[in-house]
Amino acid sequence: MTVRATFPFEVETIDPYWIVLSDGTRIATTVWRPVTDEPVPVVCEMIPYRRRDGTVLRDLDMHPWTAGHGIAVARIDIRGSGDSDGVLLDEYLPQEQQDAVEIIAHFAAAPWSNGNIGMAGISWGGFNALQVAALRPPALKAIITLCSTDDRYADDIHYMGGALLTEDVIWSNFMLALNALPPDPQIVGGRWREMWRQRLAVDRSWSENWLEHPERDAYWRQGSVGEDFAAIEAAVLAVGGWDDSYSNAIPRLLAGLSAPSKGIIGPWTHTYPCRGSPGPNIGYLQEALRWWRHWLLGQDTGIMSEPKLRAWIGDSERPAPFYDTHKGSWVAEEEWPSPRIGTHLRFLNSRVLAAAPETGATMSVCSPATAGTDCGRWGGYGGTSPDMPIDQRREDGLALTFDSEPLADDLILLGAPVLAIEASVDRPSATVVARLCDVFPDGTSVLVTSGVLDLRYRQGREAAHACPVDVPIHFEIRLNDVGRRIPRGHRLRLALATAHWHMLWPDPELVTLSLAPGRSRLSLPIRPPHSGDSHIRFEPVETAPPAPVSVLVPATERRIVEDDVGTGLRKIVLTTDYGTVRFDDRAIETSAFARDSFTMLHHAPLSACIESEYGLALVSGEADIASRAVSILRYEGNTLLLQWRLEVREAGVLLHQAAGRRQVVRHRYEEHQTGSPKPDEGR
Amino acid sequence: MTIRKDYPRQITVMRDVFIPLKDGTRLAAQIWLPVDADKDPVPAILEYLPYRKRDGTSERDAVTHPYYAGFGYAGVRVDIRGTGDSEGILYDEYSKQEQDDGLEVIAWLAKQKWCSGAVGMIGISWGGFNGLQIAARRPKALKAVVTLCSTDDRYADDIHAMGGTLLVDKVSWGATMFSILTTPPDPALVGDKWRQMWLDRMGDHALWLLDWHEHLRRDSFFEHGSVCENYRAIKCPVYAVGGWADGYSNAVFRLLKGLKVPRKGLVGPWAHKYPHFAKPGPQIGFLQETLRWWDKWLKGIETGIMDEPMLRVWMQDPVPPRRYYETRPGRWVAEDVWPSKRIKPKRMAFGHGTLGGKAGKGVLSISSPETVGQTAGRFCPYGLEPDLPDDQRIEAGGSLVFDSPVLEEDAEMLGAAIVQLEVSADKPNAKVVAVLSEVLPDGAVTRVSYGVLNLTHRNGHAAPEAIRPGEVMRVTVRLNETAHRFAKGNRIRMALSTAYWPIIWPSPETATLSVHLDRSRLEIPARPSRPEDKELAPFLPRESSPPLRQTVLRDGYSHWSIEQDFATGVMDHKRDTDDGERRIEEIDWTVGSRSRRSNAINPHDPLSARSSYWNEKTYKRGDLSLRIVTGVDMCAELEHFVIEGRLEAYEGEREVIRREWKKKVPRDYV
Repeated sequence: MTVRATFPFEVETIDPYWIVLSDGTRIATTVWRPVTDEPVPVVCEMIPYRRRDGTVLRDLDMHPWTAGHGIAVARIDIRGSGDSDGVLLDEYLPQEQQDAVEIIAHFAAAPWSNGNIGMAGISWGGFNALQVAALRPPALKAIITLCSTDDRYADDIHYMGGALLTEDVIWSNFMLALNALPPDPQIVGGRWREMWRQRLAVDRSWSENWLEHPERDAYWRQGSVGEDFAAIEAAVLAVGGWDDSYSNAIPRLLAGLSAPSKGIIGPWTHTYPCRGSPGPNIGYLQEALRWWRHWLLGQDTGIMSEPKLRAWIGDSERPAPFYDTHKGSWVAEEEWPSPRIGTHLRFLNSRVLAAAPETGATMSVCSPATAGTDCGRWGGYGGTSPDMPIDQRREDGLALTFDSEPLADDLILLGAPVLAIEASVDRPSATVVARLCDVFPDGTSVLVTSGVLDLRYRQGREAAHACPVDVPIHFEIRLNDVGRRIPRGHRLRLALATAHWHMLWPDPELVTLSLAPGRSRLSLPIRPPHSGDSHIRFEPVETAPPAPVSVLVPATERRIVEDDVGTGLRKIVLTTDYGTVRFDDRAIETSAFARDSFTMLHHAPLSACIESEYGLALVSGEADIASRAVSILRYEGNTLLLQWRLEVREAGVLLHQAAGRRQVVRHRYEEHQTGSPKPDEGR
Repeated sequence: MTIRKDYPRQITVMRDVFIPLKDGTRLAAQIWLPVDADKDPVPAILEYLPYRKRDGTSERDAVTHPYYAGFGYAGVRVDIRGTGDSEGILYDEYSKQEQDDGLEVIAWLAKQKWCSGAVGMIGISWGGFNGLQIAARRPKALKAVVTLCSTDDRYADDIHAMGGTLLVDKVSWGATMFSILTTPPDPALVGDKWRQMWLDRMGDHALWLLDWHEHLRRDSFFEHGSVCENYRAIKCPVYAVGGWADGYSNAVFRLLKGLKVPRKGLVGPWAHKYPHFAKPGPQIGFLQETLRWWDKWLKGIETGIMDEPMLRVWMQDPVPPRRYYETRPGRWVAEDVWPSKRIKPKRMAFGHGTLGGKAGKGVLSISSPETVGQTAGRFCPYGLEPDLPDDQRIEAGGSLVFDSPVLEEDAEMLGAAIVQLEVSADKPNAKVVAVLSEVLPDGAVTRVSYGVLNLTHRNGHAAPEAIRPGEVMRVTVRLNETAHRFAKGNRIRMALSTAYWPIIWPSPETATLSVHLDRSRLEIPARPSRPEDKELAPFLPRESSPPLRQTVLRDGYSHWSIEQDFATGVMDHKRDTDDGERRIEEIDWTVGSRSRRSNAINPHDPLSARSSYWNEKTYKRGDLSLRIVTGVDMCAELEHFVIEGRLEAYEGEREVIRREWKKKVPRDYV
């Protein structure tokens, strides 16, 4: 990695750079501008994570570098966040997108701009880059969207395969705490208290709303650019990593967009490809620069004559809770979908995966409600957090497994495996989890990819339909896209389970899934070896000098699963104390603390409970503020009960409290009166 | 439980009896007997233990010995030399000294005015062991023995070893005895010398673990006290009792087979407790049952007990896997003699994941994560806490699993299943673990039995030898005896693994075993039905004498957990227990105890195994306040075990003693 301090252009940092919207709202921005007489393009990144004290580390790693190479970068606090006026009421609202359209016009009209605007961002900023592109602001010529989605229902932090992700409540709890922080008095001056008061007045748990939309309705279609790919005319570079939870969107974008598009999927988690673990990292800033130069400066960087998709093919590695770096290699596809990728069909016979179907005795599985603990955490934030899936062998014991023969040759998967299942369930609400594993000769089982389906959504995600009990039904589970080489001598294992805790909220009752051998099949996307792959190269990592930071309290992390042997209660506690840091160049101190606990009795899904706690603290100028949010999700009868509370302190004194409670019907009660009580539920 | 208050004979108790031995040592005894025993002498029933009659076993003694007294016996509880209120030092378990003393005690009892001259011995665990050991010394007055949860083979079936492996419970046991041996006598009984007796007890000899680890193979240390070495030495009748949930039931079957004297065997669903209060139930009227035995052999009254079948066992029904059962469903069945010719091995071949079909071709390999065994419970469960095996499913992925087809009819077994293996290993030291289970229709898996073998002991436990990597070995793994009905609709599962923590200590390196399928098989002792079982006389409902009068001053708790750290992978089996504090009213003596246990291992590192114990015991009366804290840690290196011990004792606030021990012992193929 190279830290570069000198660039072709000198960089001027303007902070704050105020943008006044048509409704009078003042939007706080930091602009890094190349010092030049020539007009320059501007790349916007617009997120709610507080540019002054939230994303400052990564901003300073990246944006001055880009500005130093002739592209101005504007880091914008979304309305209601950071130092911007107004309030933020939910993610990805039309208001946010309209603001962005105005901001793009503002920069296009700036005397120092060449009128060509880009948008870039990871996660939230990747989402809104797509969403804003779909509104076609004339100056927006290109975007880079990282770790984002084109389908807010299919692939975001709320739902997966129709099932509720536990991260929904955890994420909303974080936003609850974050939205309670004030603007920086050093920037906004005496107005900070009044601005803050407005924010606190509306700060609620957004999950109240998200839980009200368990189906793929208009709420989720808004902001899902997959609804109309043709609306996007700006060029799109989509970037993600296999260890992130958003990589499915990239193949969909490449296949769906009619605008020029390119994709890069690396071995990374939810981070920029030049930062964080696991590696290998790439010179993302150089790659982005080639993209901007082509689309915003009209220079021929050759990037558009390169392959449509560059993807990392991970090698078979022993399971670990986190990886510094992955082993593997880059491959490229000229087109996506790629005609090169073939399909291998494998039938789910009696505990084996085979090329030809064979009948046999019916197989059943009823996983304990706590199955899934070893499967890692949705979101996989990587770095040194031990959140990756570990050895799957214990999970395989709680599932119905189908093993292939040892592979005669290496098998390279690129794309999404798809399962077509004929099976019956004994409850009207049932979720099936499919895991594809790489089984080493010594038995070690490594998760390759997985997919889930709440079977009530088997006919479409728009409406839930209770499963007919004990009647064979057909459904398809699309596993997450993956790039992986399974070596010769290893086996493929498909494991089917009926629970996925602590990633998915459990169905209200234990479910038995039964299927007849030979009637279900797995389609694997197989990529043959290709001689052109060895030419793929990325530049080594370069960044600008890091932000001057003093660590006052170092970060610590704990990830503990504790089974109470007497009661059968499993308690998973994920604690991250981010410590306390001081940003020396701006005299700001921040601390953060997260603790998420997941408890449930092995045999009683109705006992499930998530308790998420997030604490944030900020000292800047006269502000000495701490917010602490707690959200609890559990069953009450067959309804979901969300309870949350927020406490905000100034200099240690409680200043503001808010609390809420929302009860949501997730499984209609009458659905569950058809099933007879199961023996041996609970202890 | 019916608490019986009315008896044929009125009961009295002598709390401060001291039995003089030839060497001048006095052993403390408490004796319950009919008030008129001097006029109408009675046989004595001796229970001879190191667990402190005054406060250690006083709860269970109260519900047992007065009952015998009420029916015309003297219930005699004697503290072994160096324990409780007895003088001297106890240097090890089951020592010859202990037996010599026992012979003197029996002779002393027989000649008491209140004694008819006939003596019986009863005991569970230690007291079951020494009943057999002393019987083998043939004291004249000893007429019969009831031995429960004991062993005839201290290497094969005791808390030290199983199949040549080291049981993790051995460390627990060593820590427990360390905490008991360092406790004081009651000053109210022994007078001013109590303090010196206490100090004498807290010497090097108290940490038996240090010496035990010098004996990891079946040497003379284990031959001593193993009555299987010469069954013919025992000349008095023996009633052997055990429980399927206990760690000691195998001995019942060997005793019935090996002994030549009149003998009976009884195995219930119980863990390591007396059958009138053991869990899992159902309990039985064990005192009434043993009275029939004592009446026959100590009083010569014909009760018909010897006309009944030699062996009676609880045939267990399928149950969902649970760490704790209030009762186990099943039924009593019997065999007229043991071994029973009616029971024949049913052979089941290993296929690729199948059991009982066609034998598979080729080899299957297994190298388990070191955490396999996490649902195994304990070697010797007490049944009162969640210490039984849990759902075995989670172990399947780390094991080689062979499942039978769904059973089309019930299949019953009685005895020891056997796994014959042709197997090779890639390391000089490796274990094989064989777990027999029943797969229920919903996928839950209940353990039925298990067995382990240290492959370096393949040619005998006395002379281990290193494995030659790659060499195919023919070995037999004998599973623990059991009686079980596999039900129609379920499957039989055999799971083979290379690890079983926290039951056995892992080998120094993680090994891979390769099993040759067509030369390996499972043999299940199939038991045909026996129509006469329906006519077996039921046991009487359970009865006991009134419980000990005591006041709880601090409530206890027990918390068992398995904790895994995702970051390090380390899994820790923890137990945090407070037995509370209670005042025994009859002697105004307040006792309390607390303990903590930790058995931790990393799934990928056998040398990460660590077993740690902490015990605290307190004794109080008036101004007297004594506290003893003991700790034991064991871990292992490639070549050695490392054992550490700590002892602190306090009189009031004053530290009386503080000592530490550390010892490295060669692993000797373990």
